[in-house]
Amino acid sequence: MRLSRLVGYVSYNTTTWHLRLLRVGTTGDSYEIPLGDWQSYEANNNFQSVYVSNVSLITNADQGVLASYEVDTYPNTGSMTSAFYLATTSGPSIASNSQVAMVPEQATPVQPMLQRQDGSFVGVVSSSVGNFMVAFTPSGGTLFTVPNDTPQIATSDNGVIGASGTTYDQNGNITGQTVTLTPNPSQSSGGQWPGWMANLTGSSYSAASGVAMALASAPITYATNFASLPGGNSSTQGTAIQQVQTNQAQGYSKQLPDLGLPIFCTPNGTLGGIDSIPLPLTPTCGNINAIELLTSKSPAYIFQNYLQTFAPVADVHTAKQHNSVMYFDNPADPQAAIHVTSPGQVLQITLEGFSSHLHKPFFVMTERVDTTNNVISVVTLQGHPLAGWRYWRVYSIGTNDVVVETGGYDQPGPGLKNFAGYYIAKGDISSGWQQFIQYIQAQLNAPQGSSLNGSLGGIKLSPYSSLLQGYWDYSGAFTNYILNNVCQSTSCN
Amino acid sequence: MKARTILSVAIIAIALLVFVKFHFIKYEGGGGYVLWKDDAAYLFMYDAYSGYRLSTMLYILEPVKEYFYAPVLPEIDKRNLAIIRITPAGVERHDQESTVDIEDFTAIDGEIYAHCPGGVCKLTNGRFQLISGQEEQKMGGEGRLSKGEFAAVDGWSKRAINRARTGDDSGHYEFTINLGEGAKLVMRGGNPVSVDLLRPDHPSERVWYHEQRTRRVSAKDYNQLFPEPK
Repeated sequence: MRLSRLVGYVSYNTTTWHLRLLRVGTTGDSYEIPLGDWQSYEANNNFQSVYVSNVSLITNADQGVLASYEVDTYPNTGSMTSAFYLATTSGPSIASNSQVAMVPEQATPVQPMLQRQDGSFVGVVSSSVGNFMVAFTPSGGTLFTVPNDTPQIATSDNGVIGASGTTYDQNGNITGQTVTLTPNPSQSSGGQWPGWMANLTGSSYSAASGVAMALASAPITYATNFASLPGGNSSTQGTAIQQVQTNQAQGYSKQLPDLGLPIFCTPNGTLGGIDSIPLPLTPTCGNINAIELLTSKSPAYIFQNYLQTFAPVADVHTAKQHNSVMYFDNPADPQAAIHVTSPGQVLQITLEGFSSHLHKPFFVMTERVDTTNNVISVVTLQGHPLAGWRYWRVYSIGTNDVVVETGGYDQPGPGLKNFAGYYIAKGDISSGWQQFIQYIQAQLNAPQGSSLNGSLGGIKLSPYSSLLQGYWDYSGAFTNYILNNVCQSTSCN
Repeated sequence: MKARTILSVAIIAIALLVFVKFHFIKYEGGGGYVLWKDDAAYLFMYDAYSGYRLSTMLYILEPVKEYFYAPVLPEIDKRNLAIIRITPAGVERHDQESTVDIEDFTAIDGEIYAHCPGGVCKLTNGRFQLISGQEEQKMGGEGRLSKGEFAAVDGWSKRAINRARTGDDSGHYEFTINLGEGAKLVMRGGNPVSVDLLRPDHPSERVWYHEQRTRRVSAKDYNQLFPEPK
């Protein structure tokens, strides 16, 4: 008798859920951050199904995100169970990921809506006994719950304002009422929502309905993070924007000329003179003022006493200003004397006027401070009527024979006013720098030399021009010369 | 006929715009330094006048030019240093014009030195006069001149008196220095700047007053202050 082999087959199906976050960097780099893997299976009439759902994200300051999600498990026997998770990321990695229980008989994962001033979160959660506004830590610890309200604004005192207009302190205690918003507002169907202007005045703008209303309330100070409003900003569009209501110290940013434009420089901004057609293009011009002085004082002495201190244009606190066009201050301490020693120092420039100072001061920042070659250069900063550079330099061309010069290479700053002013103020610019170098001449009581006739640095000047009164380099012959003095290159930035 | 009238009016208008001049003097400065020891004080006070001679056209366009960063520039300016010596016996004043300000007033070995155009100068007979290289070497050179304030250096003290300022930053101030025998100098500033000498049994005496302002003047007054070069 031959026994046959008994072979049995068991059917076994699996499905795996993968939950991942995709982080995309500003340079296009991307990272996959795993949150979990869950397997559904079915075998021999036994099965377990798993579903992952209700994933919501909120920014976690500027460090990463907080993710909330639900994992439902349907076993072969018994009832479905739901588990709720909170995870945080840090850069391209998971920082925490754990199951949480925010309220008794929780039915949904918490939906994080705001981040509070102290870094904790506030959101909404449902349970079998009702809906709650809940404040919680990033790891899921419940801080407080408030029934039947929805967070709308996180405030700087670590409190929160609900959609009902009720204000809560850091522990969830009611502290007052702002305005009464339309009950049960819904962003999808309209209604009143907190929004602009740091209070609820005008905050009734409805993203959906487009209806604007004015409701008065006391000023509100937002939490200074990236999620003090639902959706990250007043428009609720999902972009996390840090709320800044106080005047922050403004950083200085350079206002560089756009040298990608066609470079041209013509008198009066025309093709060929005052009777020609004005050019609407942005001019880029170089200009130089220089004087040759016959003095026994060394270039280093002149550099230290007149250029590093900007004495010819320094704000004089006891007498009339030395310069009728402008004066310079140290913006950090206007009473203090200027002493330029390194790149990155900011100088404030105020224009003198006939009867008043019509303009606010504007600023430049030192780029090159070369105590060996006795050169200082600056770049214009945002708000300056010009965009470009200027240098000051003193050097010897013989025994007891020095040249003091300053040159600029610039365009008008942004806007029509600066564009027009570029031409209108040309005379004032030349005059201001002429006075600058003549102040040094007067202080040194030095006669003017005559070796600079017709050329500077080996470059020929156009006829009938005056380096003392200001030479405008319409031909562009001095562009590289000026830029070399500014940054020791023909390409400055 | 009508065309002639229009032409005449136009010519007159152009002539008015171009040839009629307005004269202004801008008074600036007004501050300086007080240098004192025991019962004697020196006031070194700056006065400056800027002259503007503007055609009607330029006068009308001035605010526009200023808006476009092109303020009208003065035609001429004048700087004067008032040297005022105050003792219990009385007040003595001298004036000295200069192309740039005389500054860094410092008392060294009983003499008063300063920085003048061209180098170190010394107060001699009510005027600052450049000293010789040899004398400069003897007094210690430019490096010994003090740019700022000081107190009780060889008995001498120096304080700045801020110039007159208009507008929001006029910054009112007041301070007093005692000169002995009950005499006091009271400095008040902002705009105007004044210095008063108070002595027992004497009426108050104003030794300095300066108000910063821009004033329209007649051509005659203008030419008197700023005579045409001959």
